[in-house]
Amino acid sequence: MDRYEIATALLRGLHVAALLSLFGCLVFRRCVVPKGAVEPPLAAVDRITVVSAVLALVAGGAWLAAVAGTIAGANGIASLLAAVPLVARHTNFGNFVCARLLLLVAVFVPLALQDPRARIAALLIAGAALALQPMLGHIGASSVREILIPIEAAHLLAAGAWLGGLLPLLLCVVRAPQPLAAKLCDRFTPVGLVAVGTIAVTALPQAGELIGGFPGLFGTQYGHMALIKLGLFCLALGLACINRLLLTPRLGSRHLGSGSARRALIGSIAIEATAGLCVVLAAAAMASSPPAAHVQPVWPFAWRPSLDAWDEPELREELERLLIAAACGLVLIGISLIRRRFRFLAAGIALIVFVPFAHSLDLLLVEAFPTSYAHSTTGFSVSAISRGQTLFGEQCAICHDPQTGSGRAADLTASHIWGHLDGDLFWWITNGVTDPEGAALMPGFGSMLSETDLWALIDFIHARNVGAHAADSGKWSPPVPAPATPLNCDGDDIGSLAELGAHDLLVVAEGNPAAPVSALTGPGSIPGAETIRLTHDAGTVPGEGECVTAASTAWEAWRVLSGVSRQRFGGYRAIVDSQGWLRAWLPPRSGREQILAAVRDVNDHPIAADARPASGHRH
Amino acid sequence: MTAPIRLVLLTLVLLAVPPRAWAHAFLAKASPPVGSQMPAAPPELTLRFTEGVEPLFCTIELLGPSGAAVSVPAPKAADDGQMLVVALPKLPPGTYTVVWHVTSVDTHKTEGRYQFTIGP
Repeated sequence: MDRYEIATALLRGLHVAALLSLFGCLVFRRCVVPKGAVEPPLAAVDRITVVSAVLALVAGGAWLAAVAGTIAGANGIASLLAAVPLVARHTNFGNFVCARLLLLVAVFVPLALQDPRARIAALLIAGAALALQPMLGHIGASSVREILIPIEAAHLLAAGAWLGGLLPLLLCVVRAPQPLAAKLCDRFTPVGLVAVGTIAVTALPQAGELIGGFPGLFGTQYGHMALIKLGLFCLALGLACINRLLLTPRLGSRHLGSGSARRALIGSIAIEATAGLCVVLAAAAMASSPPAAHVQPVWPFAWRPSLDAWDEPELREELERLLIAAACGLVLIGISLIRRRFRFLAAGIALIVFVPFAHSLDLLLVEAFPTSYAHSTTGFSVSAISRGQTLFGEQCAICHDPQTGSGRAADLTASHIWGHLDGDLFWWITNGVTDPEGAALMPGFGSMLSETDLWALIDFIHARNVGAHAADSGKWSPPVPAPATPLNCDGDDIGSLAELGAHDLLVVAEGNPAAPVSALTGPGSIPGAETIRLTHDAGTVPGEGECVTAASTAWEAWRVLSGVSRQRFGGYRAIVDSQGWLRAWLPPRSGREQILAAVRDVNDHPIAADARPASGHRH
Repeated sequence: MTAPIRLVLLTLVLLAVPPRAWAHAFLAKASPPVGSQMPAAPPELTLRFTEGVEPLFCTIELLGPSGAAVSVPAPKAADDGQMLVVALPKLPPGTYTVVWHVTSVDTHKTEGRYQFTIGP
């Protein structure tokens, strides 16, 4: 982030913090302050409410101007002033910010009336302004916004009720008579509990969407800010627990020490409020950064978790013992919590049971690299596979191909290739491979090939690998997604097979006069399946109602996936199921009944929705 | 590495959630397609993005075979704001480069480029 982006993020954070404060003050007034209370601190709470509204309005306007300047590329005051109305009128962001600013102007009317009913109106208006926040960030642009917008709105309203209420609570604890201060702390508890629960529950789906997983959490700037935010949230929550369970009861007591409890409570609430403000600023910084799920994570650890050992019979036994020991340990810990009398005994036995097997946890970790969780940028397209084929011939075949080279290096058609993450393969090809003593086994190609070329090479290695197995069996195992293949369907450009909708596809390679594609095309030729003609020529014009491939690389890429030689490939048919998986090859002389039987078999045995080709391949 | 760290890591494996959808505008589909070879010039250029874009703050440049800019009108939005359409003039055979700069509805800017070829 440059200085301008940091300033914009700070304005956003200040605006949202003021808005949370406004909403929190109004919730505090409505839900925490007892009816009829007129003590002096409450007037101060009302003043904080007004100041928060003013600050939200001013910071919101400044934020709009800063974002407008960025969007329009303004380089001076004049261009900035010209950009603001354009952005305000013609962008989604501008429309919603203006709506919010209007609501903030409107809130001053009920605030000025100083009437309980007017305060309810002010609360509703402030809540509506706060609930617009999802429309101004990543969630509002997400493809699942219909689900996540109400979730984020609830998250923000809960944050406002809790964090926004801390400042008036602090003021009351400082200034109010001791009995009232204790009563207000008591009455704040249910508000805080509901709010914290809502925040925690609504944070999870947002994290799933924007962070994705632990690689995004630990390996991206966005994830690091989320960790800071989580840490601050936990700090604020911990302080809230101390306030509620320890300090508030002491404040309410008439015994000696209630004065020190008040001082401790003031300090604790002040720190809690400061942590809350930092949470809001961290959230603003996150909103100004690309979400973790959309950037390549840089894995920071030298190891990563892996369940590969489970597939090795001798290691599985050891893991099963570890699992049993862990289960026994957990049961004993559970007993120690229920039967507190035996807690030390149970915890001790749990340790004795588990510790001998603890070394087996190493089996669940494997070596990792910064790129381990990087994902391919090619989309496993036919052009990428073709490009990878060219690069393989130039750089890799001399060692890795027994037919054209020495074949002394690792066999890249071995099935274990699928056990490696794409990101691990990327690291090895980029930086080379060494043996345990550090001697070079393979040079690195990172200085010779671009990142896109490296991913294309990996695509080809995968395609060649599955092809070698499919050539023998006629089936793809592990399951492989069909490559992204541009099509021309009845004159319309179709970007990939997926756009044809969820039904089976029969991809027929042209080039065999004895098995003409036309015999399989036409309406109703293969019930429930759409036929695609796999051509050599990108410019082939499809017949009426026909789909043809529209990339000169498609025929060769699909051939590589089939593992069949160029001379024999013409007339081959591939079945792609409705989920986009490559499923079966049929040789040119297959009859219609055989094809129908294969399609039925595909539909009778669908690939599980969460299936992945072995453990590592991601697109 | 201590046993608690290992336990935490194992928990992380079990709790891992796969990545989901995008929230910055990236090119999802193009016509003419990325890297494609077209027998004749298409009447328009359409770019579909992974999320909604603000057409007023998006630009699409077309560079001809020599690298010189080809004059094209400002893009128009279509398809729920996720697609930009530009009418193309008659283009002679050659390799063209599309350079796009877009501002997504969440105000983030992204850019990219790709090539397509017209001719046999």
